[in-house]
Amino acid sequence: MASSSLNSYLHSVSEAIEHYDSDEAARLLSFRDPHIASPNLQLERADSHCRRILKSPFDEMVAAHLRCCWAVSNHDFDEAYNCQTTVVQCFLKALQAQKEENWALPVMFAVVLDLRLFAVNADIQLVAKNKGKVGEKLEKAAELLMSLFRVCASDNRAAIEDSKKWGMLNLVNQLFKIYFKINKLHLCKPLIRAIESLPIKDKFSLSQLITFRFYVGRKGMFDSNFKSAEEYLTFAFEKCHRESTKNKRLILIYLIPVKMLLGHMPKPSLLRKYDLRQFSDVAQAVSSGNLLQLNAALQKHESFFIRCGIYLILEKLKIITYRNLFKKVYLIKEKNHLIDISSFTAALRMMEVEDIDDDETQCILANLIFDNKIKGYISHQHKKLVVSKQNPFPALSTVL
Amino acid sequence: MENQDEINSIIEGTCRTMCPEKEMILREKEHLLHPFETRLTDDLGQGLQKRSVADYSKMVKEFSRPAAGRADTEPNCLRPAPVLQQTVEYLFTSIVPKTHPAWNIVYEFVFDRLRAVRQDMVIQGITGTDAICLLEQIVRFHLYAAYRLRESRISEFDPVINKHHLLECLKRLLYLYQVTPGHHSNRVEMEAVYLLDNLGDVHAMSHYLELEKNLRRSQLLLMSYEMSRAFVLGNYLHVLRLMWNLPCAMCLCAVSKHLFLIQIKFLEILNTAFSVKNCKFPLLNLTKLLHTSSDKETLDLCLQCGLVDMFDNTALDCICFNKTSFSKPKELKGVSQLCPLEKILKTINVQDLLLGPSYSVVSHCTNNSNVTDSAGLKVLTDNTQKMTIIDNPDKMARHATVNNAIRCIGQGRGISRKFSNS
Repeated sequence: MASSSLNSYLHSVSEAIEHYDSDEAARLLSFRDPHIASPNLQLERADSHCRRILKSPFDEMVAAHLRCCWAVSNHDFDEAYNCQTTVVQCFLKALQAQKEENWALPVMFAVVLDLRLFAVNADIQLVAKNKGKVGEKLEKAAELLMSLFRVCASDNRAAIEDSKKWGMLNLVNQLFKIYFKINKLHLCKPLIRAIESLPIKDKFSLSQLITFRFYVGRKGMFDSNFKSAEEYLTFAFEKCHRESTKNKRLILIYLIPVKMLLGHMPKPSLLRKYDLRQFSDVAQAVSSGNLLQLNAALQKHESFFIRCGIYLILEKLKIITYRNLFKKVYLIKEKNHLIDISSFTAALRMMEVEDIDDDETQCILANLIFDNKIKGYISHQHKKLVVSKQNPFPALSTVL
Repeated sequence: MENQDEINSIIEGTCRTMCPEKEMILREKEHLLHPFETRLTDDLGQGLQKRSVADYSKMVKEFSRPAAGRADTEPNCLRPAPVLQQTVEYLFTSIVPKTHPAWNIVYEFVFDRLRAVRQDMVIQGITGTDAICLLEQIVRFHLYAAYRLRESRISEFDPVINKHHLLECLKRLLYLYQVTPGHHSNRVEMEAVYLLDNLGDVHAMSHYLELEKNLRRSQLLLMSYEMSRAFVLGNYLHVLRLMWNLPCAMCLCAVSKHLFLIQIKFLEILNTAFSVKNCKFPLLNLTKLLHTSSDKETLDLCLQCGLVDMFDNTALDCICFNKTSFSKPKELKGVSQLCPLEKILKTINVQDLLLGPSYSVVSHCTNNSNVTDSAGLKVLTDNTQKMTIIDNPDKMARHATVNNAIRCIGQGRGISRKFSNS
């Protein structure tokens, strides 16, 4: 196939379409197939050839695809993106014309994936040349994906096995990838709702479901819905294929901070297995109530955490670290249920919290009491923390 | 982007006055003059003709929505960057300082004219340092106005609309800093303003984290980020203490609108944590913690939250905290003054504050003696000739007043806290 002639290529496409052989058609239009490397198929203008063999709108679509091969061979991703836009637009026309049939969905998955990837590369190239804004093409690509999404989502008449609704989740996942990249998380919400309300929401392929839950979990994390984030990310982690270590690691980068916030620290063996040792200092610091170590760990791996977008979440671990530190003070005081505020201040001073005084210590304690992380109250008259005799520091997983 | 570039190269305004001639004639004919734009002398100041006598030197281009078929792009209706700069300067030195009893009239006028300035900027595609300077000034105006009009009724001042325009300018400004080469002396201040205006907001904080290290390490930004972080963690005392140490007027304006909410939340937390039978929390201590300006204000706050019985609060000097009695006030208003900000504002006049620390006034107006009359319709007579073109680009000596004032206060307050780098 690598050096196939234009004619035989066009005939194969035509045949695949006529026989509804969507896998073959998808392969012939995908950039994951070796045919794109063939010089015979990297054609700037193949419109007339295509018109002779293919019916509209596939003729235009394939011509654009071949032009795209040509652009890619020239490393011109802006042009490649434009061509791929034409491909997707033609496909949109074809999809709208197909009533009560959904055989073409695999083709859609292929062309949409390439569209997104070209948009990413076009943005990089244009920004480097000072010709465009970050994320400009990706945003345009998202608009196009949305029009496909609308066609799929509104396909209510067809029987469920012929419905284009089966294409929704793939599109949503592509859109998630874009929205996370261009930092427009608020646009995810209507998509999540659309999927969650589908009767077939659990019947998509496992890989699609995993991707979906991964992103919904991450979204939950940014909205501080840690419980649901944990649930979604755990599903993704457990169902993800054991061979795809890279993906499992990616999921863990978000699952670990969420788990930590809920009071579950990762085991060293897990961190070692997935090469995530950046978290081990953090976990250790949090569980031992060592603020100093936590600050150091956050600073040491700052760029990694910022790049992953979890730095702000990890900073929230400070609250738990305070709790653990104060619990230690309580244990040192032999579980006396009356503890001087000044003892806590002394502990914070040891942790080099600057300019700390009893007033600020009380403020931190007050917060923990308010959040139910400490059971008790502060007595102003006696300048003491009075903790409950039973279970003054309830397990974190029970209070969140 | 390419399209934009094309437009840039085509349209360049040729209008040399604050208001295009066409608009002057039209608005005078149609009686669409703002009182600030009319000629009003004492002998003429009565009767109905008042409004119809235009003072061309005081007229400023109005904002009008772009619409189909309208010639927005006629060069003689567009003001190039230097004229825009002069327009802003005129607005800040001659209009904003007016001590109008209803300052929202002044606000509305300036707001509208600044919007027209922005529109001219966009149509001509003005970027770079010109745009940065203009946007900084516009941002300052919105910040200042939000503070000054904080107690106005919604019919007089809409904080949401103001915030919307503020954010639009601020985001554009932060983008321009990124793409315009060179050092921008006010960048730290503006980045801090963005953080503080959106205190605790994930996007603002992530934006800070993406800045380059040198910038992030600047004192003011560290302080602003620390405030955001403390806010997220609920350490409100820390937020308030830092706020009282902020040396920058614009930062304080930005953060001031959060003050009331912080105090309420703080009170709620204290109320829960100190809740015990026969609790007696001295009002004096509470005032110190909440950073309210007086015990009376503290009491008022407690009253709003249902912590004080309205009938027996005579000579109350303690508060009895009780978990169950707290209720959030229905109306989230009642922002009192922000003491540290008031202190700074006393040391500096408004125009210097809004024009910015490194701005050199081209046609500086020293005349404030022409006080407006009670209706505020009288205009300073002395600025009339100043709004022609700058023939002498040799700028006057820098105005050090702002810098000095800020520095003094910074030292006076003693910013003792050092910041960790995280």
